[in-house]
Amino acid sequence: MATEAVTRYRATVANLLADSVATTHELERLILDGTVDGAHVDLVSDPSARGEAARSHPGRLPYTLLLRKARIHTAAVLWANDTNNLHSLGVQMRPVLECAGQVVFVFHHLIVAPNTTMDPERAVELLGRYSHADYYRTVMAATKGKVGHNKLLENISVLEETVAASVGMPMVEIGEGRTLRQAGKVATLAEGKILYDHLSDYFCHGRVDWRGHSWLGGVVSTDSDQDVFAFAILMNYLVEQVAVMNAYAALLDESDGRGWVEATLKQLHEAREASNAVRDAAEAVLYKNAGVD
Amino acid sequence: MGEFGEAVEELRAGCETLCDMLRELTRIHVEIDAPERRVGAQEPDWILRMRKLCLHAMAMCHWEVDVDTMHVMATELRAAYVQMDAVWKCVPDEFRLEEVDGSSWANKARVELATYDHPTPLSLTSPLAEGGFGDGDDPRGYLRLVAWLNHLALGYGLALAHLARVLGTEGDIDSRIAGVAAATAHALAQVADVAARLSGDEA
Repeated sequence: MATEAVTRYRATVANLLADSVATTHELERLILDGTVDGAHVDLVSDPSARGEAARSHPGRLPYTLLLRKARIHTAAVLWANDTNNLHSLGVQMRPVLECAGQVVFVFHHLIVAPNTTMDPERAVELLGRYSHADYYRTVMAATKGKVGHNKLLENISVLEETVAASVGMPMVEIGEGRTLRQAGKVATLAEGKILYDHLSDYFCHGRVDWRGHSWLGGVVSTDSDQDVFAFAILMNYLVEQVAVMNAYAALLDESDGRGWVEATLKQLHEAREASNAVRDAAEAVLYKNAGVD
Repeated sequence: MGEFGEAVEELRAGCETLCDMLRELTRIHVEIDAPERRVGAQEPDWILRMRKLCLHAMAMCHWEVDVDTMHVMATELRAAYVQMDAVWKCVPDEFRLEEVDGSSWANKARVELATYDHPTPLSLTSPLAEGGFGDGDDPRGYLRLVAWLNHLALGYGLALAHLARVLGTEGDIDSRIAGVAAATAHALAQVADVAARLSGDEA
């Protein structure tokens, strides 16, 4: 059985994750304004309202869909935690990281980088490559390769020229850029690729030590300190990434001065402080049990 | 209720029935191979893979079927299919059926189900059947879910019958699994009617 400190760490982190995902849900509504013709609507449960919102805010809809996807898989992570199912948690966490990584990437290059660290044209070029690759892969998958490679690139080029012309920008040379590696989507998250590869190897693709610890995909132990700590440490990482995703997504809603960026960053700092305190106590127990000073 | 509202409700009900069947199979599994059973050093990996498969089946059966939960279920299904791909190779011929194509586990995991695991802004605007939220309640999406759940229930049930023999489980496991298979077939027959109506509408 797990000791109290480790169990408390897990429970604290689960509560923080539930808070973060509630914020994601709020942001989904706020980004599309939650308002159609002046009336507040539930964009999540009302598809017709989503259609209307998409017509009024065409550029925003795909990013609210990333938030929605992150939210529903995070809810599944919380359920996996409730039912002591680390294997479910491991697979449900991966799409959340992909969504968070893409939200951070897009809003960093759209809003933050051009004003701080990057030549605006370079930021636009990176966004262009990303959109180009997304379009290429999605169309190829949807048509099962029936649209030829050259024809598709030609269509993309025409679309890009049209978009660039419509906003008065010169056409940025993007090239073929047709790869969108899954692990690349999480590269903007701190330690994103390491965690993503770990989840892929040990929870998704069966490179598993079947008799080993559960955090290495093993299935013979479920309630030791190490098992419980694995739930906490994975959810702790997720809390941080969902909070960072929320903070970047809030940039889209900053124009009306509601202060969502500040609020989401505050939530991130509070989550860090709360989880660090209980994590230290839990780690001390693990080290003691392992005979490490 | 939308254009396909009635069909969607019937398909959802079919999915729920198949989830009930999968849930029953996980109960049988835990009786055959309880999580607290000590695993011998010489036991083959496929028995452990089946434990993982059981955990994914338990997780996918928790949800009431709708657009959002289909995404969650698809992720669990994919993980289960990855394990079934390896388990199926260890199931002897006497437990196999023609209906279960051995190569389909990996193919479905890699192609159809993978789209739900690797979202992009554009892919999420695709229809439900292709990994997005594009058109809300899409009967084609639920039809796919029925097919995936049915395929898993059939393969999992046959693999469980084999597992029961290998572990020397007492009691009539075979007839319980046959009962699940019969109920699954009944659910599928009802869904087939809906599918026929839908294809008639499209024609």
